[in-house]
Amino acid sequence: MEFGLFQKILFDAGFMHLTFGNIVMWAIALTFITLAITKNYEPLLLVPIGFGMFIINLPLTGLMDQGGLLWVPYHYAIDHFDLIPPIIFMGIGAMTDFRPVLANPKTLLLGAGAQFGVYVTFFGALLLGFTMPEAASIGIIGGADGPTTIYLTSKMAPQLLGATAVAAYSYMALVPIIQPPIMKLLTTVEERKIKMKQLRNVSKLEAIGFPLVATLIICLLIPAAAPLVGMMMVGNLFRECGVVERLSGTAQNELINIVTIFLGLCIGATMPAQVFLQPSSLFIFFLGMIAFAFSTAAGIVLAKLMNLFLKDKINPLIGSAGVSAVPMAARVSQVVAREADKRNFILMHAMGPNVAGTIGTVSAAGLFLSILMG
Amino acid sequence: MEMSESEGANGTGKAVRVSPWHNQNNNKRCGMVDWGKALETFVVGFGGVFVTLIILYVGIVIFSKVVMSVTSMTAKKE
Repeated sequence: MEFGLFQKILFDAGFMHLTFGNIVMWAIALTFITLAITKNYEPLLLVPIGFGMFIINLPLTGLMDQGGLLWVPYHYAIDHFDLIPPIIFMGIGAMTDFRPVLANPKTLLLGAGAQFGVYVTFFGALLLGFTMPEAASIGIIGGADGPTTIYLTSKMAPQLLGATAVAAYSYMALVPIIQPPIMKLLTTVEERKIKMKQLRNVSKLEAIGFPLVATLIICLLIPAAAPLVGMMMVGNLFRECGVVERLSGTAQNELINIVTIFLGLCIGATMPAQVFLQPSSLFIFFLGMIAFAFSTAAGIVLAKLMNLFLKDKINPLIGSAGVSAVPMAARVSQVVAREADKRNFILMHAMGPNVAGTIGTVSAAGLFLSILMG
Repeated sequence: MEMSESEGANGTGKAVRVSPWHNQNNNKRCGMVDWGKALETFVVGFGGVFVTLIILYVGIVIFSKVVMSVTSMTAKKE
């Protein structure tokens, strides 16, 4: 009897059910947490993702079983009702200053051009045997926008959510490493030295009106993008109108922090070893890199093309900021420009395509939803 | 490509649509891609992003001009 009880307790213990895959996943989780802590790589996401990945690979915890602690927020706030990505977009909108786009709206085109990598990767994923909804979810990694990637993947290919989200956030963190070689390869030193005219001042009325105009135009053209665009623009309206500072503060601090905790943990928890340790995960990481590289290159090439027609030349380095990754990509443009000329300041110019890239990625996601799921 | 149903592939205990990558028994890979639909997705998708942002560009330019002219008219009256 006592021996039977001992046997039962032993059999119910997690370590009896450990697999080699679980231990590999612990190592991957530890790598993410270490990179976040030591290298500051997207720590707000990679720490909770790493921990979620770690804890879900402890056998028999039941955290992602129906009704489990992490299943509930995953099921209701990400998978079923897609609440968390739009709420994060509200925070992003409240944190984003769209004045560089208003001052130089031509940079919107760079945000569009940098979506090229999304579509190149869409074809690459199809060639590798992924389905169209999966290919769209993998391609959108090239937009360098984590919440959009999660939103689209949860709607189109939830089985890939962990891999696409981790790839998107990992590459966003690696922007300072991935982009500069491509930027230097595609531009001459003279091009990198181009100084741009100072941006004009944007009035408060323009800044307040922008979220309304942008919502009107984008939602009329791509209704499927409304949850993300609408939330981003209401967050921006909170910021710019100046009379709801509490709402603006909540959107860009407490609210986004709370949902980020659940988002990170739940994304990590979608990666048990038997799901993540598949050839598809490696392909997703490889394709994510391709997407990023093509998006960066397309932004720069488009900026060079625009220079053929513009009187006031633009520095082609700002084209690479068309991948979203706000504000990291814009900072990288500034760093590379200063390497060529220490007196060249293009950061605010690069913020234009950078925030335009966010709008472009959301539009691309909305169009994927309309075309493939509509 | 055809998808198959598999229970709980994402660890959530619910049915999800999975590709052959997640179904080791299915060795059919890229033979059934509808390349016409893929091309249409590229043209409509990438073109659509450009058209959307060009319309937004035009909208912002018009909006900014209206705001600036209203502002200057108000300033003159004052």
